[in-house]
Amino acid sequence: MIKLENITKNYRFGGGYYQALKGVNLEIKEGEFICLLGPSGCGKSTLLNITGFLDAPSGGKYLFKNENVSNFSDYKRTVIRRKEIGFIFQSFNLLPRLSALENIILPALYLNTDKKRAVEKAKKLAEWLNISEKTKNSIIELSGGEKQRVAIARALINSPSVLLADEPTGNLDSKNAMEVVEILKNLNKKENMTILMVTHDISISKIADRIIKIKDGKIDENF
Amino acid sequence: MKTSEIIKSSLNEIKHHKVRSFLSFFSIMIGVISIIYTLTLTYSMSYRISKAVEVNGPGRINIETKRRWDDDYDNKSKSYLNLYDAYAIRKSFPELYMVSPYSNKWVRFYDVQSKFKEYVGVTGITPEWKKRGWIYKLKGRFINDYDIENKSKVCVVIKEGGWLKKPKWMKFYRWKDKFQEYVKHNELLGKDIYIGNQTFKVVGVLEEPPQEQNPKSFIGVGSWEPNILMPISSMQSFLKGYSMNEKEDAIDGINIDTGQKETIEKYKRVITELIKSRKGNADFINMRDYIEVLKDQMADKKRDMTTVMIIGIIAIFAGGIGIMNVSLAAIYSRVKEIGIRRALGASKSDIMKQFVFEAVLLGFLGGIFGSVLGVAAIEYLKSKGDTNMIMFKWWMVLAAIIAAMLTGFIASVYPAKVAADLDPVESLKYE
Ligand SMILES: Nc1ncnc2c1ncn2[C@@H]1O[C@H](COP(=O)(O)OP(=O)(O)OP(=O)(O)O)[C@@H](O)[C@H]1O
Ligand SMILES: [Mg+2]
Repeated sequence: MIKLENITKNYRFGGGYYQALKGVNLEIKEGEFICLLGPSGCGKSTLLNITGFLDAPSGGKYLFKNENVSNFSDYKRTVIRRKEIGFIFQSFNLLPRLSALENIILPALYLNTDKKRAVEKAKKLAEWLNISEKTKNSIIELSGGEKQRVAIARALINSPSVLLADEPTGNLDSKNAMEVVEILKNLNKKENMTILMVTHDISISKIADRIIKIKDGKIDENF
Repeated sequence: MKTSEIIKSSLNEIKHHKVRSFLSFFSIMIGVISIIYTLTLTYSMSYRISKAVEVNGPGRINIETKRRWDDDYDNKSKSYLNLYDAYAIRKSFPELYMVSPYSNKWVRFYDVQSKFKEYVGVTGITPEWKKRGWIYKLKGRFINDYDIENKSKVCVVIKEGGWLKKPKWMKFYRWKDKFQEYVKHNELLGKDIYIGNQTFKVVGVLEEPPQEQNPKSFIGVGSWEPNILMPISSMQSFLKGYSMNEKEDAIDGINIDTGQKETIEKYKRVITELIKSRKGNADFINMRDYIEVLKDQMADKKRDMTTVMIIGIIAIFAGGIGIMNVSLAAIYSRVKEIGIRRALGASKSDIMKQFVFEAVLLGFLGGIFGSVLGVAAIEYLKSKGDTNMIMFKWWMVLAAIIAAMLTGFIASVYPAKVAADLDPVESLKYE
């Protein structure tokens, strides 16, 4: 489903450039659960953001569902991101002024889904994630685990084909972390959801079909 | 994203920043109030001018003998206008729509029976007087050519129209015109009345329309409002009273209407020539066209209007800058939010719309509240007797609200663009 060929990413830095990705080759099949491991600053988030169309690569070729999307404009990337990608972040990134439910349906509103249908779907997701009682609550009133489950519901509302999770357990205690991992595993096994997850925790990475180690902007082939 | 959703989230945002929203809101409000006020005033002014021109004739020229208080009065000049000058103009230029000589006198009115005494204004006229400014309902008959030729001792009384609905202020402030009170309570048509120690027969009563519908109360041009009209020839022969003229056969002036605006300059010239040939010079007369007279009278009001307008523009401008400032500041407190929204599928234009809508909504709300206050202020001024405020129209509110929304729009486009162009990844990292 996803094919990255020799992807590079340069950041302007001081007078010159800093190369965060130095030619990454990666293929992800539909229904695969992949974990990205690697030291801090090696380029994991950068790779995730490029895969999720949040950022454009500086070089290389990106094929998404057999379409070359390497040179997509900002708008085209937005449209494809809206439909195909669900993001989950370490710091949840929920909008504090909206209720849990309003947060969950926000991506659906950007997709111009009928609001009633979006709310229905959000309620089903909330039930499945065990946060039904909290949908009316303000974000500030939720615990960390609840916040991340709201964020997962939000990532799933548009039925994306890929879920991108950047250290989703990083801000959670071990009990909540395990729950989130269970949820993702379930999604992968039962719904055949394609998942790319960044983590520092080797024990968590064990649940993945495939573990990929990044080192200094490249995939560590020796891992 | 649907517009209704954007509006909802904008309202939410405005609610969450009460002080900041209020400040922009406040100056927009002041701007809107002054826009409504100036629009009303401007509209009223132009309405008055056009109405005045309509009532008084488009090609109106006024000729008067210069008086001591005129700037260029020549005290050696012994010339003055008389009735024959008016007749000469009429004879030389039969195509003129109106040649109406007039003369004013301030005389004593006396009713033998009730012992009612009062000074009244009398204007001596010819039948041509009724060709312009005729807003009356006539009972009986008007003065005719026979009256002029035979110096008939007849007169026509002018009766005020009163008010359909008397404004509150009138009950307290206005002095009562005693003569008008008298006219109201005594049927004068067909009666003989004593003015200036002479008997005149009232052959007609002119009833003015109610004040609200009376263009004269609205136009307010010329300070002389006569109570009684009579043949100018009779006045010169019989009526004793105070007048501006030293000579018995002098008249105050001549009102002329050429019929159209375009011919005013031409007739000003040829009539001056005619006067010159009759009197040897024309330096003793003032000749002004009506538009000039009107403009003089409106000049003061125009100055007031300009002041208010400038205040309004500054206020709206300040409101705009306020919105711009607020929106720019808001971007920095909302970088993270912008990043999150972008990640969830918001396009640049979605972000842009969000900021622009917020500002336009702020302008709209300021416009609504400003309009409410503005209309209340106008009603208040109206109740205090500001007749200009009668000309308030609801489209002015609409115009003011649109101006306020436009201000919000213009002021927010740049900040919105800045927000939309933020890099999504960088914004997400922002703390
Ligand atoms: N805008 C930028 N300008 C310059 N350098 C950047 C920029 N963004 C990221 N980098 C650099 O690129 C490298 C990769 O960053 P990235 O965020 O992908 O690391 P990461 O592997 O996710 O690290 P962590 O595990 O700490 O989250 C880092 O060295 C970082 O300093
Ligand atoms: Mg990272």
